[in-house]
Amino acid sequence: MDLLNTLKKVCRTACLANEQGKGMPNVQEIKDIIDMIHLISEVEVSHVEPMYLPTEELLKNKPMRDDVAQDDVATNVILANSPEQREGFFVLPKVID
Amino acid sequence: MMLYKYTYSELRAGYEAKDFTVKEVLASYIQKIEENQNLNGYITLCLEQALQEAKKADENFAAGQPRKLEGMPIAVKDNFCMKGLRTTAASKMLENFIPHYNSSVIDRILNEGVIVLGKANMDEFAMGSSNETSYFGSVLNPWGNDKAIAPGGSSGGSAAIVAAGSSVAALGTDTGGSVRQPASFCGITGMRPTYGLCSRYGIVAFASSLDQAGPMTRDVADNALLLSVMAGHDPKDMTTLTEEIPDYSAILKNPISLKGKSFAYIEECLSASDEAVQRNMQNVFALLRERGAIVDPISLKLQKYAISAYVLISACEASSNLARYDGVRYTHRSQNADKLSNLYNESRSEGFGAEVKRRLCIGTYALSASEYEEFYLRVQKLRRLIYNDFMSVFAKYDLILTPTSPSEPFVLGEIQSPCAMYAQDHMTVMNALVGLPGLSIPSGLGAQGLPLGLQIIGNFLSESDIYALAHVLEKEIAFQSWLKK
Amino acid sequence: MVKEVTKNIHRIEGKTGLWEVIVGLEMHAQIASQSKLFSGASTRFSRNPNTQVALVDVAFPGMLPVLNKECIRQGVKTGLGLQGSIQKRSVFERKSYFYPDLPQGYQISQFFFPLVLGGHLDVSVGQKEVYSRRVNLERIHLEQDAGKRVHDLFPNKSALDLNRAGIALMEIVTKPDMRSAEEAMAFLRSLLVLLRHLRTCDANMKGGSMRVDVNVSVRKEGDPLGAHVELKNMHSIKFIGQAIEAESQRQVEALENGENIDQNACRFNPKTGGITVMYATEDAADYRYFPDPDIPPVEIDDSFINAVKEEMPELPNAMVARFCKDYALERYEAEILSEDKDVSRFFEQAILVLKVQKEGAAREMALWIIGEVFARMSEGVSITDIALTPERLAQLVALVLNGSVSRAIGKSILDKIWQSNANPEDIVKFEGLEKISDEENLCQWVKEKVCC
Repeated sequence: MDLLNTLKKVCRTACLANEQGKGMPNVQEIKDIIDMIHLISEVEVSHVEPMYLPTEELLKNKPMRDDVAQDDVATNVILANSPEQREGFFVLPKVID
Repeated sequence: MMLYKYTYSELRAGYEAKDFTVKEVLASYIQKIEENQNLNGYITLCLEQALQEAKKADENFAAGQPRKLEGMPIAVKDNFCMKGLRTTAASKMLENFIPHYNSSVIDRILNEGVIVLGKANMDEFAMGSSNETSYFGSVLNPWGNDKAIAPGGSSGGSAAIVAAGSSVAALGTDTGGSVRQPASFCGITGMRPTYGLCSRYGIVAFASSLDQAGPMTRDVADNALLLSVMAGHDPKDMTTLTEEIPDYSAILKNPISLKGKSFAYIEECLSASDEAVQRNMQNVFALLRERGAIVDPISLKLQKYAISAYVLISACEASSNLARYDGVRYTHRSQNADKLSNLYNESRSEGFGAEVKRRLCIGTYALSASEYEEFYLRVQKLRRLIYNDFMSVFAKYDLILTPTSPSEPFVLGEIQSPCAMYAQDHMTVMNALVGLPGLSIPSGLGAQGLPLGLQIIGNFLSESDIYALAHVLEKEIAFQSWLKK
Repeated sequence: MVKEVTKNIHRIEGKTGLWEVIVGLEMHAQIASQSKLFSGASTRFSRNPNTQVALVDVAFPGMLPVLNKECIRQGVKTGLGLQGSIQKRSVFERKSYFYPDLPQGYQISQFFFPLVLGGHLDVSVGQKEVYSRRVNLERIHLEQDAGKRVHDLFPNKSALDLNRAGIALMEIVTKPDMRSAEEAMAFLRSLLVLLRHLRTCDANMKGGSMRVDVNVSVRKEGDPLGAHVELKNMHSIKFIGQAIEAESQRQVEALENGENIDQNACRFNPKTGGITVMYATEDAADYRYFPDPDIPPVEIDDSFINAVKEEMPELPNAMVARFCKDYALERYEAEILSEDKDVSRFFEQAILVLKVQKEGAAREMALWIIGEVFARMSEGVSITDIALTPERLAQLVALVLNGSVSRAIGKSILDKIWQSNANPEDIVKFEGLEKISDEENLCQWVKEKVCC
């Protein structure tokens, strides 16, 4: 598939560029990186189990959290850094479907 | 007295002998920070608060009740959240973000008496190997003198600060080499511990399965001491280990004998390095052999895929970890966001820099349903193969030695292509991929007179062994730091 | 047991012949727990926005999820109650999409490795001709709930409240095993009863603690499954029934007119009975699932599962069967009494203290509860909240069974003791009611005292 179109689609999915395409990375650079990560297809891995967390063996039988409600934070702390707030809510532009 | 030149062990001895006070030490640092302003090492300073802490520290010494790190000035990479102190991750996205919480590592070191001087510059969201991707501008490597030399990255500010006397120690984070490579570039000591040794709670995430906090110091003893305090289980991070943390600095009191110890070096790493680096490594091997150690070459065939694997995994995780920066709750919100449909696009396109966007694109692409098997699933399988390779090396050898970086520090702006920049992490990504610890210590100077680093990689939880060897080598190499030059 | 009856299966009669309706359900049930799935914030309902929120729920930088053990336990319990296979290793994954009510930019859910696989629920369907339908389950997995947006509070602005964000949900997914609106409604009623007995969800659909996505398709008998339409986010069993009827009818008409069924997600409007398309599910967003690196795989062992097994209450279906057998109840009566665990407990407690050993005694008690006690309870009141105790009711029913008072008198006594829980025997003595034994006198008395 045409890489430019793929990149446009990816930027939409990741919300990285504005409607005019401003903010979209350079296609050639992206192509080079994809070529580089593609190198791994040379390695034969068909009978290998994936390893998402290399330290999993060291973590066996770690306790989960007990069901205690104690971490509520004051609303003003929750909202302290918000770009816009009102009456305890985060405020954002209205959805226009 | 140029107190800023001392290591913490030296400061500590002076505090206890009442040679000087914490306040005096702080004054010395404040002056040095002023002088070093051109290095751009700090993004945010908190010296007022530091002065108050210094007073408290002096009281504790006077009362004979100093804590483990009492009166240790420290710089904190700007991706550790600190209560009431702006935490930006060097991004426009978080330019005005003030957290109401401390990261767990910060809590641990504050409880033992460190004095935070400020937040250190870094690559944006820790993505970079030169500190050039920072929204707050590049950092200069003090070794460059009149030349603009890269301090390395992503913990470039932390490294430059410690090397230049703007703090005695710093916290960094290492995802694929971000503590070790800048430590090497700036001629200091930097540790990436076993994955899960230090809590990630409250550290701005880049790639969750790789991120680890690490200490950056002027010598091995300070490093070991600082890690002893940073490390330990945290109920707020399910990936932290529950193992007892030994007092790493106590281990250093009796230097180990190298007789009969066996070390391996990775041929592929050596051959990928430039000549000066190779020569430097050979000197270290000769020294070890002289002391009765075995030093063998080994081959890790998968080494050549390590960078690809690292870029892929870290980009995938980053594309998800950075989805929370959306302009809704606490980040930059674009002025152009007049409706919900462009709130995200506009805010994120303005808030993130070019390198971050590149990685988010790569990660989003590689995780898409059509590419998932080819990339994400495959790379996790490759990860197991790399793990297996390391385990078979550690069945025979105590530790692995590599250069930290394939070359001497480069000139800022010299590396333009993203792939060439990624290749800078050649030596440091392999063990990071499988959660193994690695330490970089200064090992000499290259052809341009800039620092080189030696990396010691160990098995899981082998930090004590790594420090023990590093301590011996440190004495033998007798590296002249930039401050003592 | 009621046999599986196939001749009862519902068909739509179209121009071209008979059509079969295929229904599958996805329930999102809020897990009963004190704190959220990955944070220590409270799950209590609050009118004030952003008051039941922990730092994790806002997705502040560096915040990490920590798994709530109780939610896993509740999931396992539900899985056992639905005869599913509990997976000793399950994995939380990230489901990525941007939406303001999703603070992390991804929902933590289970995808490739859910907590429970398979399972089934036997449901009795119908009023007169009752038949049993086995509804098989695909899976049960755990996931986070989203926050809430309020659109009508501020002009030209949306308001965001994160109180609900991060509360644990279990998603229960059936196979497309239901063949009519009636079967789907019966399944949902049975499931709610089961969840109430297990106490793993408060199963209050009006309160939003269970939301349902309904998948509807139609086919000619013997044909393979066709494209389905997804009716999203439904909160009422009644409307679900209406929506299935409307949608299946619409599909039959469309297919008979030679149109295709588009795989869409739709919304049912109960006021108009209309169905509007929200988005096409075939080209839906790419969710980019991958295992959440912050959460190690969930490993549970036999001792964990066995501990849950030991706490398992009697399941409603078993209870119904036992009530029918031990107390000679009609199935319908047994179902009513076992719908609510507190009611069944009240009933069995009353039986226990009922001193009369007589054929039909237990059923008499059942009818008193269903007919008289329920009639006197106002809407929304639990049987545990009324003054009347099982002991007093047993005394009253004993008087009737012994022939000391008639049923009609008994009812008037119940009125008298309803508020006070007074001893019915005292009422009988005090008011001299037991003297009335003559049938004619009694009829007269009843006419005067009760019927008027």
